[in-house]
Amino acid sequence: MGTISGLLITVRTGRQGATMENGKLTPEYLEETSMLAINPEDLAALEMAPGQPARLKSPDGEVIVTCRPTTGPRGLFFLPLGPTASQLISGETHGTGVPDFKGLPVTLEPELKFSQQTDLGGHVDE
Amino acid sequence: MRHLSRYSALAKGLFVAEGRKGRKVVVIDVRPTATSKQADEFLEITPGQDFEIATVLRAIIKGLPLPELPEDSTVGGVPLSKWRELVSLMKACHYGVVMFGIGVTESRGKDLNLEQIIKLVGEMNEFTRFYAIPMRGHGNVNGSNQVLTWQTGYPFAVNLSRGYPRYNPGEFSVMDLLIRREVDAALIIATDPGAHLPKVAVEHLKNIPTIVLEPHENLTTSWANVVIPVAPAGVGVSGTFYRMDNVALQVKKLADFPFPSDLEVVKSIKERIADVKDYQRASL
Repeated sequence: MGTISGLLITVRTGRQGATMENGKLTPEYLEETSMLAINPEDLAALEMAPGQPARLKSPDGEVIVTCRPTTGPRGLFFLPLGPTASQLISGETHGTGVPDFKGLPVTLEPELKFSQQTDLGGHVDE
Repeated sequence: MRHLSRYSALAKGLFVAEGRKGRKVVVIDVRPTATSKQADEFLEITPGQDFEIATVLRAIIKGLPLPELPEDSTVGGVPLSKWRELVSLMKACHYGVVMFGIGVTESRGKDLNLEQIIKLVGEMNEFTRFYAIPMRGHGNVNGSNQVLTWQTGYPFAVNLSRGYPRYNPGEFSVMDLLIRREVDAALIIATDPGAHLPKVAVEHLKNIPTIVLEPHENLTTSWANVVIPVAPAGVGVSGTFYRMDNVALQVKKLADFPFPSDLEVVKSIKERIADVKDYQRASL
Protein backbone atom coordinates (compact mmCIF):
# COMPACT_ATOMS: atom_id res chain seq x y z
CA MET A 1 0.00 0.00 0.00
CA GLY A 2 1.29 3.39 -0.83
CA THR A 3 0.42 6.89 -1.82
CA ILE A 4 -0.14 8.20 -5.30
CA SER A 5 -0.33 11.80 -6.43
CA GLY A 6 -2.40 13.26 -9.21
CA LEU A 7 -4.69 16.04 -10.27
CA LEU A 8 -8.17 16.41 -8.80
CA ILE A 9 -10.85 17.40 -11.27
CA THR A 10 -14.27 18.21 -9.85
CA VAL A 11 -17.11 17.03 -12.07
CA ARG A 12 -20.88 16.60 -12.15
CA THR A 13 -22.41 13.13 -12.30
CA GLY A 14 -25.89 11.97 -13.21
CA ARG A 15 -26.35 10.28 -9.84
CA GLN A 16 -25.24 13.46 -8.07
CA GLY A 17 -27.96 15.42 -9.89
CA ALA A 18 -30.56 12.74 -9.13
CA THR A 19 -29.70 12.33 -5.45
CA MET A 20 -29.65 16.10 -4.81
CA GLU A 21 -33.30 16.22 -5.88
CA ASN A 22 -34.12 13.91 -2.96
CA GLY A 23 -32.15 16.14 -0.63
CA LYS A 24 -28.56 17.14 -0.07
CA LEU A 25 -28.73 15.82 3.48
CA THR A 26 -29.43 12.24 2.34
CA PRO A 27 -26.77 9.52 2.71
CA GLU A 28 -27.05 8.84 -1.06
CA TYR A 29 -25.94 12.40 -1.92
CA LEU A 30 -23.00 12.21 0.52
CA GLU A 31 -22.06 8.80 -0.86
CA GLU A 32 -22.09 10.02 -4.46
CA THR A 33 -20.27 13.31 -3.78
CA SER A 34 -17.60 11.32 -1.87
CA MET A 35 -17.02 8.79 -4.65
CA LEU A 36 -13.73 9.33 -6.43
CA ALA A 37 -13.44 7.94 -9.95
CA ILE A 38 -9.89 6.88 -10.83
CA ASN A 39 -8.03 4.81 -13.37
CA PRO A 40 -8.16 1.04 -12.52
CA GLU A 41 -4.34 0.82 -12.65
CA ASP A 42 -4.09 3.60 -10.05
CA LEU A 43 -6.52 1.62 -7.91
CA ALA A 44 -4.36 -1.49 -8.32
CA ALA A 45 -1.21 0.50 -7.49
CA LEU A 46 -2.81 1.38 -4.15
CA GLU A 47 -3.72 -2.32 -3.69
CA MET A 48 -7.31 -1.29 -3.24
CA ALA A 49 -10.60 -2.84 -4.29
CA PRO A 50 -13.44 -0.71 -5.68
CA GLY A 51 -15.59 0.76 -2.90
CA GLN A 52 -12.78 0.81 -0.34
CA PRO A 53 -12.22 4.06 1.57
CA ALA A 54 -9.25 6.27 0.80
CA ARG A 55 -7.85 9.51 2.11
CA LEU A 56 -7.57 12.36 -0.37
CA LYS A 57 -5.26 15.22 0.63
CA SER A 58 -4.73 18.66 -0.83
CA PRO A 59 -2.68 21.51 0.67
CA ASP A 60 -5.99 22.86 2.04
CA GLY A 61 -7.65 19.81 3.54
CA GLU A 62 -8.17 16.08 3.85
CA VAL A 63 -11.27 14.01 3.23
CA ILE A 64 -12.35 10.38 3.23
CA VAL A 65 -13.68 9.13 -0.10
CA THR A 66 -14.50 5.79 -1.66
CA CYS A 67 -12.88 4.87 -4.96
CA ARG A 68 -14.37 3.42 -8.09
CA PRO A 69 -12.60 2.59 -11.35
CA THR A 70 -13.33 4.68 -14.44
CA THR A 71 -12.01 5.05 -17.96
CA GLY A 72 -9.47 7.84 -18.00
CA PRO A 73 -5.74 8.42 -17.86
CA ARG A 74 -3.66 7.56 -14.81
CA GLY A 75 -3.14 10.36 -12.31
CA LEU A 76 -6.47 12.07 -12.89
CA PHE A 77 -8.97 11.82 -10.04
CA PHE A 78 -12.61 12.79 -10.63
CA LEU A 79 -14.81 13.84 -7.71
CA PRO A 80 -18.30 15.37 -7.98
CA LEU A 81 -18.31 19.00 -6.81
CA GLY A 82 -20.03 19.00 -3.45
CA PRO A 83 -19.41 19.25 0.28
CA THR A 84 -16.54 16.73 0.17
CA ALA A 85 -14.61 18.33 -2.70
CA SER A 86 -15.14 21.78 -1.14
CA GLN A 87 -12.94 20.75 1.81
CA LEU A 88 -9.94 20.40 -0.50
CA ILE A 89 -10.20 23.50 -2.65
CA SER A 90 -8.50 26.72 -1.61
CA GLY A 91 -10.18 30.10 -1.86
CA GLU A 92 -7.45 31.44 -4.16
CA THR A 93 -8.86 32.57 -7.50
CA HIS A 94 -5.71 34.20 -8.97
CA GLY A 95 -7.77 37.33 -9.53
CA THR A 96 -10.26 35.57 -11.80
CA GLY A 97 -13.19 34.95 -9.43
CA VAL A 98 -12.97 31.20 -10.04
CA PRO A 99 -11.26 28.85 -7.55
CA ASP A 100 -9.09 25.97 -8.79
CA PHE A 101 -11.96 23.54 -9.19
CA LYS A 102 -10.09 21.54 -11.83
CA GLY A 103 -6.47 20.44 -11.90
CA LEU A 104 -5.72 20.66 -8.19
CA PRO A 105 -2.59 18.65 -7.13
CA VAL A 106 -3.62 16.04 -4.53
CA THR A 107 -2.41 12.77 -2.99
CA LEU A 108 -4.43 9.62 -2.43
CA GLU A 109 -3.78 6.79 0.01
CA PRO A 110 -5.82 3.88 1.38
CA GLU A 111 -7.69 4.71 4.58
CA LEU A 112 -7.74 2.12 7.34
CA LYS A 113 -8.93 4.03 10.38
CA PHE A 114 -12.07 5.80 9.16
CA SER A 115 -13.92 3.26 7.10
CA GLN A 116 -17.61 3.77 7.90
CA GLN A 117 -20.16 5.38 5.60
CA THR A 118 -20.59 8.15 8.19
CA ASP A 119 -16.88 8.99 7.91
CA LEU A 120 -17.25 10.06 4.27
CA GLY A 121 -16.62 13.65 3.37
CA GLY A 122 -15.03 16.11 5.71
CA HIS A 123 -15.39 14.15 8.95
CA VAL A 124 -11.72 13.55 9.62
CA ASP A 125 -11.30 14.11 13.35
CA GLU A 126 -7.89 13.28 14.75
CA MET B 1 -28.03 13.18 -23.56
CA ARG B 2 -31.15 15.30 -24.00
CA HIS B 3 -28.88 18.01 -25.39
CA LEU B 4 -27.61 15.67 -28.11
CA SER B 5 -31.00 14.21 -29.03
CA ARG B 6 -33.03 17.38 -28.99
CA TYR B 7 -30.62 20.16 -29.95
CA SER B 8 -27.03 19.53 -30.90
CA ALA B 9 -26.47 16.19 -32.66
CA LEU B 10 -29.55 14.13 -33.52
CA ALA B 11 -32.18 16.83 -34.16
CA LYS B 12 -33.35 17.27 -37.73
CA GLY B 13 -32.98 20.88 -38.79
CA LEU B 14 -34.19 23.05 -41.65
CA PHE B 15 -30.84 22.68 -43.42
CA VAL B 16 -29.82 19.36 -41.85
CA ALA B 17 -32.71 17.12 -42.88
CA GLU B 18 -30.82 13.89 -42.17
CA GLY B 19 -30.12 14.79 -38.51
CA ARG B 20 -27.04 13.10 -37.02
CA LYS B 21 -25.74 11.92 -40.42
CA GLY B 22 -25.62 15.53 -41.58
CA ARG B 23 -23.47 16.64 -38.69
CA LYS B 24 -19.91 16.21 -37.48
CA VAL B 25 -19.37 16.04 -33.73
CA VAL B 26 -15.87 16.46 -32.31
CA VAL B 27 -15.37 16.09 -28.56
CA ILE B 28 -12.28 17.49 -26.83
CA ASP B 29 -11.91 16.26 -23.25
CA VAL B 30 -9.40 14.92 -20.75
CA ARG B 31 -11.11 11.51 -20.55
CA PRO B 32 -13.62 9.42 -22.48
CA THR B 33 -17.23 10.26 -21.53
CA ALA B 34 -20.74 9.28 -22.59
CA THR B 35 -20.62 12.30 -24.96
CA SER B 36 -17.25 11.34 -26.48
CA LYS B 37 -18.68 7.89 -27.33
CA GLN B 38 -21.31 9.64 -29.48
CA ALA B 39 -18.73 11.72 -31.34
CA ASP B 40 -17.27 11.26 -34.83
CA GLU B 41 -13.90 12.22 -33.41
CA PHE B 42 -12.64 12.28 -29.83
CA LEU B 43 -9.47 14.21 -29.01
CA GLU B 44 -8.18 13.24 -25.57
CA ILE B 45 -6.08 16.12 -24.29
CA THR B 46 -3.72 16.72 -21.36
CA PRO B 47 -5.43 18.70 -18.57
CA GLY B 48 -4.48 22.37 -18.24
CA GLN B 49 -3.47 22.83 -21.89
CA ASP B 50 -6.62 24.59 -23.14
CA PHE B 51 -4.92 27.93 -23.74
CA GLU B 52 -2.09 26.36 -25.75
CA ILE B 53 -4.54 24.32 -27.84
CA ALA B 54 -6.79 27.29 -28.64
CA THR B 55 -3.75 29.43 -29.50
CA VAL B 56 -2.36 26.82 -31.91
CA LEU B 57 -5.81 26.36 -33.47
CA ARG B 58 -6.03 30.13 -34.05
CA ALA B 59 -2.61 30.09 -35.71
CA ILE B 60 -3.62 27.18 -37.97
CA ILE B 61 -6.90 28.91 -38.86
CA LYS B 62 -4.95 32.01 -39.91
CA GLY B 63 -2.45 29.85 -41.83
CA LEU B 64 0.47 31.17 -39.79
CA PRO B 65 3.77 29.26 -39.90
CA LEU B 66 4.57 27.31 -36.72
CA PRO B 67 8.38 27.17 -36.90
CA GLU B 68 8.80 25.95 -33.32
CA LEU B 69 6.37 23.06 -33.77
CA PRO B 70 7.62 20.21 -35.99
CA GLU B 71 4.83 18.46 -37.90
CA ASP B 72 5.21 15.32 -35.76
CA SER B 73 4.89 17.23 -32.46
CA THR B 74 1.91 17.17 -30.12
CA VAL B 75 -0.09 20.04 -28.66
CA GLY B 76 -2.01 19.29 -25.47
CA GLY B 77 -1.27 15.57 -25.92
CA VAL B 78 -2.79 15.41 -29.43
CA PRO B 79 -0.71 15.31 -32.67
CA LEU B 80 -0.48 18.61 -34.54
CA SER B 81 -1.83 16.84 -37.65
CA LYS B 82 -5.08 16.10 -35.77
CA TRP B 83 -5.49 19.79 -34.97
CA ARG B 84 -4.89 20.64 -38.64
CA GLU B 85 -7.61 18.13 -39.59
CA LEU B 86 -9.96 19.74 -37.07
CA VAL B 87 -9.38 23.19 -38.56
CA SER B 88 -10.05 21.84 -42.08
CA LEU B 89 -13.30 20.34 -40.79
CA MET B 90 -14.27 23.62 -39.14
CA LYS B 91 -13.52 25.67 -42.25
CA ALA B 92 -15.51 23.25 -44.42
CA CYS B 93 -18.71 23.41 -42.36
CA HIS B 94 -21.67 25.69 -43.06
CA TYR B 95 -22.53 26.43 -39.48
CA GLY B 96 -20.23 25.51 -36.61
CA VAL B 97 -20.84 25.79 -32.89
CA VAL B 98 -18.25 25.50 -30.13
CA MET B 99 -20.03 24.24 -27.03
CA PHE B 100 -17.70 24.70 -24.11
CA GLY B 101 -18.19 23.84 -20.45
CA ILE B 102 -16.65 24.63 -17.11
CA GLY B 103 -13.72 22.37 -18.03
CA VAL B 104 -12.45 25.42 -19.90
CA THR B 105 -13.29 28.08 -17.33
CA GLU B 106 -12.27 26.23 -14.17
CA SER B 107 -8.94 24.77 -15.27
CA ARG B 108 -5.56 26.48 -15.59
CA GLY B 109 -5.84 29.73 -17.53
CA LYS B 110 -9.55 30.19 -16.70
CA ASP B 111 -10.85 33.39 -18.36
CA LEU B 112 -7.80 33.52 -20.63
CA ASN B 113 -8.84 30.15 -22.12
CA LEU B 114 -12.24 31.59 -22.79
CA GLU B 115 -10.80 34.72 -24.39
CA GLN B 116 -8.85 32.51 -26.83
CA ILE B 117 -11.96 30.49 -27.69
CA ILE B 118 -14.03 33.62 -28.30
CA LYS B 119 -11.30 35.11 -30.49
CA LEU B 120 -11.06 31.79 -32.35
CA VAL B 121 -14.79 31.79 -33.02
CA GLY B 122 -14.66 35.42 -34.17
CA GLU B 123 -11.84 34.62 -36.57
CA MET B 124 -13.64 31.52 -37.88
CA ASN B 125 -16.39 33.85 -39.11
CA GLU B 126 -14.01 35.02 -41.83
CA PHE B 127 -14.45 31.56 -43.34
CA THR B 128 -17.88 30.32 -42.27
CA ARG B 129 -20.64 30.91 -39.77
CA PHE B 130 -19.42 30.04 -36.28
CA TYR B 131 -20.80 30.47 -32.77
CA ALA B 132 -19.84 29.65 -29.19
CA ILE B 133 -22.38 28.53 -26.61
CA PRO B 134 -21.41 28.11 -22.96
CA MET B 135 -22.84 24.90 -21.51
CA ARG B 136 -24.55 25.77 -18.25
CA GLY B 137 -24.80 23.42 -15.30
CA HIS B 138 -28.02 24.05 -13.45
CA GLY B 139 -31.30 25.28 -14.88
CA ASN B 140 -31.57 28.99 -15.63
CA VAL B 141 -27.99 29.89 -14.64
CA ASN B 142 -28.21 32.02 -17.76
CA GLY B 143 -31.23 33.86 -16.29
CA SER B 144 -29.24 35.80 -13.71
CA ASN B 145 -26.60 36.68 -16.34
CA GLN B 146 -29.26 37.89 -18.76
CA VAL B 147 -31.17 40.02 -16.26
CA LEU B 148 -28.02 41.53 -14.73
CA THR B 149 -26.77 42.35 -18.23
CA TRP B 150 -29.89 44.20 -19.32
CA GLN B 151 -30.12 45.98 -15.98
CA THR B 152 -26.47 46.93 -15.39
CA GLY B 153 -24.57 46.11 -18.57
CA TYR B 154 -22.58 43.33 -16.87
CA PRO B 155 -23.36 39.62 -16.46
CA PHE B 156 -22.01 38.88 -12.94
CA ALA B 157 -19.63 40.20 -10.26
CA VAL B 158 -21.44 43.56 -10.32
CA ASN B 159 -20.88 45.96 -7.43
CA LEU B 160 -23.59 48.61 -6.89
CA SER B 161 -22.24 50.07 -3.65
CA ARG B 162 -21.48 53.44 -5.27
CA GLY B 163 -24.97 53.72 -6.71
CA TYR B 164 -23.81 52.79 -10.20
CA PRO B 165 -22.68 49.39 -11.49
CA ARG B 166 -19.02 48.42 -11.48
CA TYR B 167 -17.82 45.09 -12.89
CA ASN B 168 -14.64 43.32 -11.94
CA PRO B 169 -14.35 39.53 -11.65
CA GLY B 170 -11.58 38.74 -9.16
CA GLU B 171 -12.54 41.79 -7.10
CA PHE B 172 -16.34 41.82 -6.88
CA SER B 173 -16.93 38.10 -7.49
CA VAL B 174 -18.43 36.08 -4.63
CA MET B 175 -15.33 34.03 -3.84
CA ASP B 176 -13.00 37.01 -3.69
CA LEU B 177 -15.36 39.12 -1.56
CA LEU B 178 -15.73 36.21 0.87
CA ILE B 179 -12.05 35.25 1.17
CA ARG B 180 -11.10 38.90 1.73
CA ARG B 181 -13.83 38.92 4.42
CA GLU B 182 -15.26 42.16 3.04
CA VAL B 183 -18.81 40.87 3.30
CA ASP B 184 -20.42 41.32 6.73
CA ALA B 185 -23.93 40.09 5.88
CA ALA B 186 -25.26 37.89 3.08
CA LEU B 187 -28.63 37.45 1.38
CA ILE B 188 -28.50 34.12 -0.47
CA ILE B 189 -31.13 33.46 -3.14
CA ALA B 190 -31.55 30.26 -5.14
CA THR B 191 -28.08 28.90 -4.50
CA ASP B 192 -26.34 26.59 -2.05
CA PRO B 193 -22.88 27.93 -1.15
CA GLY B 194 -22.60 25.36 1.67
CA ALA B 195 -22.44 22.58 -0.92
CA HIS B 196 -20.42 24.19 -3.67
CA LEU B 197 -18.07 26.91 -2.41
CA PRO B 198 -14.60 26.13 -1.04
CA LYS B 199 -14.36 25.60 2.72
CA VAL B 200 -12.78 28.97 3.52
CA ALA B 201 -15.67 30.87 1.90
CA VAL B 202 -18.28 28.78 3.74
CA GLU B 203 -16.46 29.35 7.05
CA HIS B 204 -16.69 33.12 6.55
CA LEU B 205 -20.40 32.89 5.67
CA LYS B 206 -20.97 30.91 8.89
CA ASN B 207 -19.43 33.79 10.88
CA ILE B 208 -21.66 36.55 9.47
CA PRO B 209 -25.45 37.02 9.47
CA THR B 210 -26.94 35.05 6.56
CA ILE B 211 -30.47 35.05 5.18
CA VAL B 212 -31.42 32.28 2.76
CA LEU B 213 -34.41 32.15 0.39
CA GLU B 214 -34.73 28.48 -0.41
CA PRO B 215 -37.51 25.94 -1.07
CA HIS B 216 -35.51 22.91 0.10
CA GLU B 217 -33.39 21.86 3.03
CA ASN B 218 -29.75 22.00 1.91
CA LEU B 219 -26.20 22.42 3.15
CA THR B 220 -26.66 26.19 3.63
CA THR B 221 -30.05 26.18 5.38
CA SER B 222 -28.61 24.05 8.21
CA TRP B 223 -26.42 26.93 9.47
CA ALA B 224 -28.03 30.10 8.06
CA ASN B 225 -29.37 32.60 10.61
CA VAL B 226 -32.68 33.09 8.82
CA VAL B 227 -34.25 30.70 6.30
CA ILE B 228 -37.28 31.97 4.39
CA PRO B 229 -39.04 29.10 2.59
CA VAL B 230 -40.13 30.09 -0.91
CA ALA B 231 -42.11 28.37 -3.65
CA PRO B 232 -39.81 26.71 -6.21
CA ALA B 233 -39.56 28.81 -9.39
CA GLY B 234 -41.09 27.13 -12.42
CA VAL B 235 -43.11 24.74 -10.23
CA GLY B 236 -44.85 26.90 -7.66
CA VAL B 237 -44.32 30.25 -9.41
CA SER B 238 -44.54 31.26 -13.06
CA GLY B 239 -41.79 33.30 -14.68
CA THR B 240 -39.17 33.53 -17.40
CA PHE B 241 -36.51 30.87 -17.84
CA TYR B 242 -33.47 31.51 -20.04
CA ARG B 243 -32.31 28.46 -21.93
CA MET B 244 -28.54 28.22 -22.41
CA ASP B 245 -28.79 29.36 -26.03
CA ASN B 246 -30.30 32.60 -24.64
CA VAL B 247 -33.89 31.76 -25.68
CA ALA B 248 -36.34 33.11 -23.10
CA LEU B 249 -39.08 30.63 -22.18
CA GLN B 250 -42.23 31.29 -20.17
CA VAL B 251 -42.67 28.72 -17.41
CA LYS B 252 -46.08 28.12 -15.88
CA LYS B 253 -46.98 27.45 -12.30
CA LEU B 254 -47.77 23.74 -11.90
CA ALA B 255 -48.88 23.50 -8.28
CA ASP B 256 -49.87 25.69 -5.36
CA PHE B 257 -47.33 26.14 -2.59
CA PRO B 258 -48.04 27.71 0.79
CA PHE B 259 -44.93 29.89 0.39
CA PRO B 260 -44.37 33.22 -1.40
CA SER B 261 -42.11 33.57 -4.44
CA ASP B 262 -38.51 34.90 -4.26
CA LEU B 263 -39.80 38.10 -5.89
CA GLU B 264 -42.51 38.65 -3.27
CA VAL B 265 -40.07 38.11 -0.41
CA VAL B 266 -37.42 40.45 -1.84
CA LYS B 267 -40.06 43.10 -2.63
CA SER B 268 -41.46 43.01 0.89
CA ILE B 269 -37.93 43.22 2.39
CA LYS B 270 -37.24 46.23 0.15
CA GLU B 271 -40.49 47.94 1.21
CA ARG B 272 -39.72 47.28 4.85
CA ILE B 273 -36.22 48.79 4.45
CA ALA B 274 -37.78 51.87 2.81
CA ASP B 275 -40.23 52.19 5.75
CA VAL B 276 -37.38 51.96 8.28
CA LYS B 277 -35.37 54.57 6.35
CA ASP B 278 -38.39 56.92 6.23
CA TYR B 279 -38.85 56.48 9.96
CA GLN B 280 -35.17 57.19 10.60
CA ARG B 281 -35.31 60.34 8.43
CA ALA B 282 -38.49 61.53 10.18
CA SER B 283 -36.95 61.07 13.61
CA LEU B 284 -33.79 63.05 12.80
